[in-house]
Amino acid sequence: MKKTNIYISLALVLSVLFSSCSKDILNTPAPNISDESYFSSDDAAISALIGVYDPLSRYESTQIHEWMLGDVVSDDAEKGGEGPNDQAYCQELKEFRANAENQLLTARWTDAYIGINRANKLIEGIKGNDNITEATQDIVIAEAKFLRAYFHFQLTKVFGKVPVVTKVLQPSEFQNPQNEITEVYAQIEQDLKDAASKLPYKKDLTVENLGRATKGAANAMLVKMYVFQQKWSEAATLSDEIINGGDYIYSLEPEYADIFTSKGENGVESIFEIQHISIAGDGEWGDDNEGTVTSIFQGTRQLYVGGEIESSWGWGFNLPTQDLVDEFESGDLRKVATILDDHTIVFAGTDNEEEICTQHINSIGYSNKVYHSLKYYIPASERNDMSDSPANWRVIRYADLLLWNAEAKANGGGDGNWQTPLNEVRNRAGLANTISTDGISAIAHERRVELAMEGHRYWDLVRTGKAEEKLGANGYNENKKFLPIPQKEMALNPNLVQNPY
Amino acid sequence: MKHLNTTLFLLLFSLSLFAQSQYSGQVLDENSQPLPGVSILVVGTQNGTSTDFDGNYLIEANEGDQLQFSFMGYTTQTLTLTTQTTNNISIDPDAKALDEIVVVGYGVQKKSDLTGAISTVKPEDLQNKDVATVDQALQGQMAGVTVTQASGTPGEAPSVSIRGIGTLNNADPLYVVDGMMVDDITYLNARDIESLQVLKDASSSAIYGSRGANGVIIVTTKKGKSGEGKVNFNAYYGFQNFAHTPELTTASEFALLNNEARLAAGLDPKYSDPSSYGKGTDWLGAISQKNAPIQNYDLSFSGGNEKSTYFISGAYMKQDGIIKKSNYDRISVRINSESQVKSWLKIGENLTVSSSNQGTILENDDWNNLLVTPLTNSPLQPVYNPDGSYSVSDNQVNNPVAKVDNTINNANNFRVIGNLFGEIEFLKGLTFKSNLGVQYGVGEDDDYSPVYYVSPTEGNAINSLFKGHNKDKSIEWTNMVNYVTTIAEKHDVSAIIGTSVFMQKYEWDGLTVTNLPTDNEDNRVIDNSPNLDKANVYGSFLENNQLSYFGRVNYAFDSKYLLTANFRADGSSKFGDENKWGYFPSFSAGWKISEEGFMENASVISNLKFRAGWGQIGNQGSIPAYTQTTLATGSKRYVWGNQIVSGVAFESVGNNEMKWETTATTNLGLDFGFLKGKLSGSAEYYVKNTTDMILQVPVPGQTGIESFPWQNAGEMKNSGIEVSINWKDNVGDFEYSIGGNFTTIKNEVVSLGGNNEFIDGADYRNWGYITRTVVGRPIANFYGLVAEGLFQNQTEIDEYYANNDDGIPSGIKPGDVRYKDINGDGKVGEEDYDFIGNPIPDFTYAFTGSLAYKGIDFSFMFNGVYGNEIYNGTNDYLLNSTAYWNLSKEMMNRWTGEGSTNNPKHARMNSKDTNNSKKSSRYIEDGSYLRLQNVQLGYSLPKSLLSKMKVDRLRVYVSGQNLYTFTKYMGYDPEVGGYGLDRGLDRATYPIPRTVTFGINLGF
Repeated sequence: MKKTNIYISLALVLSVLFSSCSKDILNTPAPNISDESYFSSDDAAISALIGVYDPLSRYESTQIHEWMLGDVVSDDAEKGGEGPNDQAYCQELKEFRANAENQLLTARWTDAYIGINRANKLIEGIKGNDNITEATQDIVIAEAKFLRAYFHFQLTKVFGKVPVVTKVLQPSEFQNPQNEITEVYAQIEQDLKDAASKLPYKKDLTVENLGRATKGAANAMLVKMYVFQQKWSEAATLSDEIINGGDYIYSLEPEYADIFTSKGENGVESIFEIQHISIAGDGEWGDDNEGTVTSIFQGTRQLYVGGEIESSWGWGFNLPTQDLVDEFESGDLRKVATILDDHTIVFAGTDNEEEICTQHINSIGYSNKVYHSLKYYIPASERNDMSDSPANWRVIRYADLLLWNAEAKANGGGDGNWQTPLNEVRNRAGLANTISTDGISAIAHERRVELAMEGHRYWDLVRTGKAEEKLGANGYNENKKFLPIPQKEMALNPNLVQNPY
Repeated sequence: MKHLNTTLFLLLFSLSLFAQSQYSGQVLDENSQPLPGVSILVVGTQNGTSTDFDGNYLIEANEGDQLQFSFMGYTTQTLTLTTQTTNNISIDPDAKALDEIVVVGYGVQKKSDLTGAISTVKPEDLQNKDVATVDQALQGQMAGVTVTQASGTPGEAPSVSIRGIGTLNNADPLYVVDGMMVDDITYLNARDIESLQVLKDASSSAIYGSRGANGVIIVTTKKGKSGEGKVNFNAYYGFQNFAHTPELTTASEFALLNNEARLAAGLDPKYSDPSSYGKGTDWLGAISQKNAPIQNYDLSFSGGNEKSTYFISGAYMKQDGIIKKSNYDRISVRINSESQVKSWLKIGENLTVSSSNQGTILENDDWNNLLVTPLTNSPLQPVYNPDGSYSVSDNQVNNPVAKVDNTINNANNFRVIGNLFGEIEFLKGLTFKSNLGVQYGVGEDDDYSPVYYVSPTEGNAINSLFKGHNKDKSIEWTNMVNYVTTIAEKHDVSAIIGTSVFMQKYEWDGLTVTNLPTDNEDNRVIDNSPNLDKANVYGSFLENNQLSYFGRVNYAFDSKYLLTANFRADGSSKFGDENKWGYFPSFSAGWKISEEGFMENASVISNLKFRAGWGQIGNQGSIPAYTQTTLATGSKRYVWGNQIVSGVAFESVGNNEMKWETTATTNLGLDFGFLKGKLSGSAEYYVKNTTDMILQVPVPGQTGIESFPWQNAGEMKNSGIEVSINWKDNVGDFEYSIGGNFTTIKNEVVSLGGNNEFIDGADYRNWGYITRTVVGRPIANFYGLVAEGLFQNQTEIDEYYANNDDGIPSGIKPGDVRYKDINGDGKVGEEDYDFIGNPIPDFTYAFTGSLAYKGIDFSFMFNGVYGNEIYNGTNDYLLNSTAYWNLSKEMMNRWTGEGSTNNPKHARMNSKDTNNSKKSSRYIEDGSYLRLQNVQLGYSLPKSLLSKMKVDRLRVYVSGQNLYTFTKYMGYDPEVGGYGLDRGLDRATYPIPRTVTFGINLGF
């Protein structure tokens, strides 16, 4: 090659070298949609709303925690399982010696705030957004506020003072301190009132929207907030409105036993339920499917088959105590709809008939007699996969509301007639009207049996000041009212003040 | 290829047409041994040849021509031809020798001119190990290169780390195969490798910029050589078995301990006569495959002339697992050729096609691990019921045999990797080189869950079929100009400038369908599912592009003083507009002391060189492709109207300010050779500081941020010493060599960014996080209670709990574990947690040896680690006081009364125990080991015999891998891997088998 040629080619090569590489290749747009452009349609708003509902049904914070805290920690149940080390964190809670690294508490905190943040992100994304119709804005924001209130309650019930979060936090706000309990409830009340004003009645929900929040759910939740704060007058007025108001049309399921069957799901008595569904062969576990693990956790470990003991579908948790069983009056239809004893036959006369065996309980060290719970026990035909049950978690049902109504009135709210709502609940259970003159204790008794094994008992004991009396022997005292804030959170936010536990 | 061969034939044919004389002879080395492969060139012509296996040559030349004999590492000799046609010649090693040519980034260098920290492995050291992947063969070969085979699952590649853990994220090195950057080399056959170099410090790897931040492994595959065509065939066949399994109690012993546990808890014993149960079921035996075969066959053809060379190889390898249902096979084909098209133009290509299948079982899992269930299942339980159905255990452990029988997990991979390069020489010393590489890989996961039944909680009621696909496509184009010159005889200068573009797109999708009408193997197709509308599907993609400019200058004065400077600018699509570019310089210098005049009389010292270097490299490899903006993530599901509805959530927050993580390395090195190179070696000291470490910084839960945002936050320091020494000599026909290497690693977290006190990692079962990373310590230390011993009597218990306002927790009795009460409150809680072990070893080491006498050769290698701890997760079951699961044989030494033992591992039996299984040092074990990694004994048939058969080489051998391990570790294997903050926790992985193979090497 001649020298000139060489230099020409070299110059060419060098120019190719340094110009061929367009810098545009360094801009690679993400396949996912960014928050700046996401909220562009009603459908997008609905999609993000589903994202807010999603944490409701979380495996840890709902599917097992509601009954672990509500039942196992109370005097209604023992932990069960395959021995003391099986879900040991639950036993630690029951014995009021949980530490701040307890996994249940960690999940409760994070999951609730995940829900709150998703709600805030959604509200900020669509409020006043021209791309989204006003009707959709109203309803979606109302649902987001309902859920935000629900999640804040999940927090304050367990931890007391918690940070109230009503916007997407900026880094400078990451370490905001806790709010007073009254401030937390004030925000919850406000959100529920806002939600109730825009949400539809349950009767107006189309079938494909069943399970979404309604005006009734928001108002019943608000009643619950009043009850927890002992605002008896507000509780009585609002619960009266739901009970008497024409458009709410809630009523008791005629047969108590039907409440916990698929017939009772989202039925006439249902005010709010966390929705589950199980897909045949899904094979996933925990949060990777939309079923609940509540059923397998509480299922029996053994059955009698032809007189022989065989392993069964279940891990044998949340075992009703004799104390609970003794609470049922004779003739109470609710007892057989709640309690499974050794040799109890379930789903008699159907293909799903099974004979319950409680023998394994002795081998794991419970010397007192314990039982199994029927409420989340599902028939073999519904056991699609080992963890995946379609049973909805009943958050608020009409009987609960009737008993709040009674309780508010027994405490001086409304017209003071606590007997009528109480008797409505008793009569359905095959019991006569109450002869008690002590409304407070009659209602406490009624709540225990009516709502047994539904995750309410412990919170009832705490809010009515009975926890020390009933659970003192397990280690409860005034300091145990609120559980420890997760250690992880304490470390990440130095402004948090730990509960005395 | 056919064309090429025809061309070659014609070329060779035409050469023989000239009327010349034939000159022949034998070339011998300094020990009068025949030297094969010596190049012989008629000076001033293109006419050349090389010696055969016996050192013989035959060449056409004319009287008066000069023959030039050259061989790497030997001095070049010239012979002027006379009428004598037979000329034997002996050539001597180059006095300056050790002058191997070493492949460095975008070029080659003489080893003696290197200024960075580069380790080399000889191909024979890779090829004498009958292992499935090349990485496995790297174990113990080089100081500073740590290879950890965490899983022995057939086809599973080990993890390779160079100089410690430079980042909390992905620390895998970059592989460069024939100029192509690839993420792994599992597709390569060890026998195709010509050379392998590891660039360890910043000054040597900086030329690869960010992709080389964790070190670079450069592989050059075999090429054809001019001369007579070669055919090589290699094969081995062998058997694999478990090397070690945890020792368990027999059925009798287990029944005894179980009774004891129940009695202690006030329960009736279950077994009336424990001694009657004997040994019981060997569950591990029931799922394992004895003498599992491993086999490999490869065949290669190579050859060429002065202008063109070619190499073609094909290989097939198949490995059955020591556990049923695990297996691996790979078929691969490689082709490369290189041609001097014009005097100024050279082109060439490499192409590899490989196809592999891997069958796996569930391992390294917290709950249903198939390496754990055979240990924990009751030895009293038979595998099958009398009617032939699977038995159901009474301790809630799945029947491992049922699980293995119904495991169908297959992954198929198909890869094409190829590059095309051209090199133009404009002037002597000035060349332009362009290299275009393409990689295309498709993978398919093919899993099937058939219907089977063990018990209501165990089995699978509805079958399902999962198909997952991934597609990885990348293109890389590198262009560079290289200039080499010598000024005034003493100044050697070479320089490179270049650019590189890299574009990658990775796509994935998958679907699961259920309820196939039959489990029949032939009918496992998606279309057979009756509910296609309910298929669970997913899919997305990511793109990752980079643009780089680089340059390097090497300068040597008088071959004594060496300088290298690198500069690299990297642009990455992963960062926001303001921070896309990072600029990384490096410098190094060398001083060849042995070349100095004053060393002339020190004849003992044949080589002595001091090196020093400093450099910075950026890293971005381990962060996800899209972190700049806050993105919607789909598949957030809930149920409305009894139907699943799917929504989105914004799980993290974008960070547009993220920039390059930077690692600065300072390296000091010394290379030495004594006694004419008989003793040689090198020593290195390095300090590696990583700043702006890219990590996910934990934020308070109240933010609701689900996936912690990526930030430049931490700082980490690694330092260490690396020494390697070799001695090589012969006594007559008896040749031998011994060598060793030694590496220390010191890791320290300097900062975790902001006011982060710690980051936890390694979530395991009910224990939660096992490791904690804090400033001032090595990363991922084990964190938990300190198990001090056992309570020997009630008085000790009373004293221990004296300060506890809640009194003595129920159930604590003598024989229970006593934890150190660090805060003195009389309670056992997280306030008493302390750092209880470090998964990073103090040092790793290896030594090797070889002997050869006439046709017999023998070699061995030991490698080991020292000073690390392992958290033995499986012992949660095997040391469990409840005796609910089968126990370690150790528990026969359990506490039985005051003074019987104070070892916290040996706590008393108690069915209701809640004290002894806390996260604690009870599960920490010494992870040190020394392993006889490889032994090989071979015999090469004498040449006299072979030449009659027209065979160059025929060798048979027997080889053993992983033959014996000296360790105190109780688990399957002390080689426990880890990733990020999850290190040294043994969840029970597939152990590396002990393998014995028989092989043959044939060349003609």
